[in-house]
Amino acid sequence: MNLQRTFSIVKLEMQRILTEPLTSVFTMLLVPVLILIFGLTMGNNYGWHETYSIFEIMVPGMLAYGSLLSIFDVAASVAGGRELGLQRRINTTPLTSAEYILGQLISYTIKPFIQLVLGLVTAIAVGYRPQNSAVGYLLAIVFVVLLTFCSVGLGLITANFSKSAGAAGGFAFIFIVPQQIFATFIPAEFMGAGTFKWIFPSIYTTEGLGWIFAGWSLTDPQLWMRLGILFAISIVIYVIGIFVYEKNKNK
Amino acid sequence: MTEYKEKEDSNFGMNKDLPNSNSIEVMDLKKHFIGKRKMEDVKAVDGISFQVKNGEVFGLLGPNGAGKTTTINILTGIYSPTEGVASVGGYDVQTDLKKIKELISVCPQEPAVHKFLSGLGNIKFFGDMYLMSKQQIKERSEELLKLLGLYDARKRLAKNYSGGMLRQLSLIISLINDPDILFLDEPTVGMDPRNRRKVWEFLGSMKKQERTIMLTTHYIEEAEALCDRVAIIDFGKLIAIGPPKELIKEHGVKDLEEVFMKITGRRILEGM
Repeated sequence: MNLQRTFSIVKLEMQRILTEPLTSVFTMLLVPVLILIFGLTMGNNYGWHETYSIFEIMVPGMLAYGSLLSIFDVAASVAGGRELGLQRRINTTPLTSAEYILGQLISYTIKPFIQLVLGLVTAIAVGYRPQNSAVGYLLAIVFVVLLTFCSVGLGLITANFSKSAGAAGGFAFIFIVPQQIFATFIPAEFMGAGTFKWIFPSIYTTEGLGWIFAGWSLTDPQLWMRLGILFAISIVIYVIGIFVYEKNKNK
Repeated sequence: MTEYKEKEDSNFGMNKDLPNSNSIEVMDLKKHFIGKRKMEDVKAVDGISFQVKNGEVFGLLGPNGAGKTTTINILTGIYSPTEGVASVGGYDVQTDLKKIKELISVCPQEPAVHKFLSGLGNIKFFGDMYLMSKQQIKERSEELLKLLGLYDARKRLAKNYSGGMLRQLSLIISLINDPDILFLDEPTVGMDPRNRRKVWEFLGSMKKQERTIMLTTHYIEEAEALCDRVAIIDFGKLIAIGPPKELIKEHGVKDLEEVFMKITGRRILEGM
């Protein structure tokens, strides 16, 4: 494992983002903009629950949704590289799959992290008041990073089935949309998904973030159980993603 | 059509600690693909054998679909062979790929570059892949950009390059690590005659530095100008091999195109 190569991949992905402003706007500002719009229109709606406003479900869900967009980014990046013959060319250099995937993981963790910060700042600006300590916020970052792990894995799997960046972008939504609808910013119970929501990795991040921002004790076993399950799911999906990438990288 | 089998000495399975006079060795190499109609067995490479000596410029000549690119893809680890063995720099392509990748560089048929990076940005990226220092990348890239006439356009985004410029950039990228063994897959396709000559001159200078070059081409004049030896391939089979002048003399014709025609009854360009 060599960091020069890994950071070169990170730099490359960052440059791709910067030189494609539309992608940047879509992936970085979507979450803060959605929080701004929904926060201003529905922030104080307590109609569905005695204690929580819509805001308190929506903000953690939106932040989890930001991580899900990495599925689209990774799938489009890998499939696009393959479409142009770049993936094959890179595979003839000493770059290893581990270095390449680590580079992708770092790149696509930076974006959800920025979204987390921008999203929280926006939410606070329109009236949301998360309550927890600095350690709580660190734990929130861990939840987001783990979901991003999982999303990178799903992105690699998606790229395997896609012949072009465009197709990969489309296929990515097969993984994004169900999680978005049943396990992020819309309460799963609203959608009648209370029982099967557990199959979606994003529910663990959504609930984890929700509880942290609601000021739950950080030693609460429910919180750690969700973190543990998310960790296990993410590792499994990430490993499957690496396996699929390795098998098909020269397609 | 008579299939040609090279009968030169091979030191396959040699002790890798001993100096080897062959940079590339291929023995009875086959690559079959499953065709679109599932039961169809497409023989892209069908039992070819040859050796490329250290410091030699070796050309694979043949029409499109002859098996040239597939052969290069096997030697550079993109494809696994269906049968047969191949080594590059004394390392087996199926078991020692990591070591092979340290020695080689590949200029693919399509100018595979990152369009959102500048020419220089692309070169730096690939320099990093070979763990070159910033200073090494700077010196080598300046040298190559000047030699191949792309220096003034180095800061422009690759998406604004013409087709010929992309080919030049792709070639420069493949030269950045000063490889011991260089694979060039139709390196001058799409270049204007002036730049093509420039590339030939540069590759000629590499030859003097005893770098091994394996190139595919369907330009007869390119093969004759650059290659110490050529292998003519058709339908995945090796049909002739030797120094261009000897092949021409042996067949009593005026160029390699006619050698091909004499053996196959077709012209190389017909297959394109």
